[in-house]
Amino acid sequence: MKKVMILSALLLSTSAFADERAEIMANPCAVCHGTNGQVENSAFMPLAGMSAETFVKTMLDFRTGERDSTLMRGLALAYSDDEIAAMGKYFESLEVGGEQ
Amino acid sequence: MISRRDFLGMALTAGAAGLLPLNAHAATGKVVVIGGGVGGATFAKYMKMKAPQIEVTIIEQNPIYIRPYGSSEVLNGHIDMSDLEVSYDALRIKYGVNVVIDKAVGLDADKRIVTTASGANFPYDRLVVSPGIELLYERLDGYSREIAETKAPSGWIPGSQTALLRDQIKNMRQGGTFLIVAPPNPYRCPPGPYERGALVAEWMQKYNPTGKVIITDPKNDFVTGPDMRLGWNRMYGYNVPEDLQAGMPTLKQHSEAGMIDWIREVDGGRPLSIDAAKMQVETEQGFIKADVINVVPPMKAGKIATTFGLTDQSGWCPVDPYTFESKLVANIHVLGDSASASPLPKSGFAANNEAKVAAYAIINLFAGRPVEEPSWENTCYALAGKDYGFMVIGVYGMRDGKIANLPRPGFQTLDVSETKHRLAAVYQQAWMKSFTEDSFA
Repeated sequence: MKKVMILSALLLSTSAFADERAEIMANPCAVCHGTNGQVENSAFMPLAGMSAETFVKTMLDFRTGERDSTLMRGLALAYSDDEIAAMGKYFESLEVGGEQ
Repeated sequence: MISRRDFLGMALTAGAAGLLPLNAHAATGKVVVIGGGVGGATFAKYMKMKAPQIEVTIIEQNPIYIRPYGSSEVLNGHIDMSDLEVSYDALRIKYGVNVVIDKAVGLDADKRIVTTASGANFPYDRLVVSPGIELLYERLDGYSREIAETKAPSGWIPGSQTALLRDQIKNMRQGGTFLIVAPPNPYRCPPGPYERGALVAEWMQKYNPTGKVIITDPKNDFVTGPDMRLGWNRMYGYNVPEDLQAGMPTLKQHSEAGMIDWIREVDGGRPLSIDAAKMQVETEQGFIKADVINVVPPMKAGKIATTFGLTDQSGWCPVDPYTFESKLVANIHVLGDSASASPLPKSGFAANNEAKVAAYAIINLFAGRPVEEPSWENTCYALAGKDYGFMVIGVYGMRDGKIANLPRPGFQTLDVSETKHRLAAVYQQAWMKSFTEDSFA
């Protein structure tokens, strides 16, 4: 229950970051998840168009270990809740696929 | 964050140079990039994606990029030399980057003009220099570029030396010794020499089971050290030194000498000289005779960075972390291995991320806007065998005006399952593809 509340609070809060800051934080993800989150590679999850809610929940689950991972736990621990929320909004805003 | 005062200062500088456009949102300008490696290519691609109106020219000597990352997999036949080739077509066709195959030779930093070997002039508003590394062959007594190209290859910049090394390993006598001379810090691809040793040992298990890999080292540890040593212990009969066993899961005890031996600095591993005629390397603990010798020599910033006055006494290029602009020459940005951006490592991943940060920063500078706070990661995979991988997990941000390593576990725990190692090896292969695409395609 507590987690649900945190999640909602994160998603409802107006972004603590400028759009460009969110994009700059999200740019390293492209190395595995594809430019603009549009990877064409079955090993990694495309992030483009993922709902912010799913992104945030997944990252928080990686962080607590609720969801198993190789390196995502380490990444999730390095970013703040606000930063994760901002990246979630950014990826949600991207087109799912299309011309990369 | 850059303070308002800093920003006003930058805006004034930009304005005085005639760069501040009337409409702050319409960033225009001309950018020349020297070097079409990961740093230069990623920069050009992201620059054109974000601001297609900016003219971007890459000056690169080779028509095809030969990727260094993953190139040790040529040595054990996982891949061929041709698998290292990366085309510039996407940069040209998809993003409209002007890719010029030529060699930058001269700079007029006041007039902002780069000249090339063919005699062409390239004026710029901002110059990006991303030339990778220069190998300092002569730093090891008895070693030279000529010896590297004929007798004892380095292959740290991939190319004909990589192919020569592969052939030497393949043709080595049964029971022969493959010797790797590891470099001092800092160097390109920190886990690289040790991964190379592991991959060759794995190949030997099948094709030269009495062969041996020796790594002689001027250092006492390396990035991914515990993970790599655990892999060596499990697969190649390596006994982890007692003082390095803390925190490790149960280790195998091997009664006989294994296939891999790693001689640290404390054990006299520092290399002193090479005698290529006798095929031996002198170290502080004595002479090591070998059948194939692979030297990873000390290195510094790519030569053009030195020629252009961008390096300091360390041999690397000091830069502003917000923009990667050189601290020594204005309007020139240095990316990738050449830049001093510690704690960011000299890795392809870091070069890719530095390039993105610099592209956004230059667009903002052109538009007269403040530069946004940067952010970087470094998540590299390394192998101890084709089904045994692990990784480095790095996240970096600005703290007190400096690039800081943000708190997080930097590696997986050492007791992960076999499945996890296999998964990391799968991800390593997928990463090669997705990373190359994000940088070049």
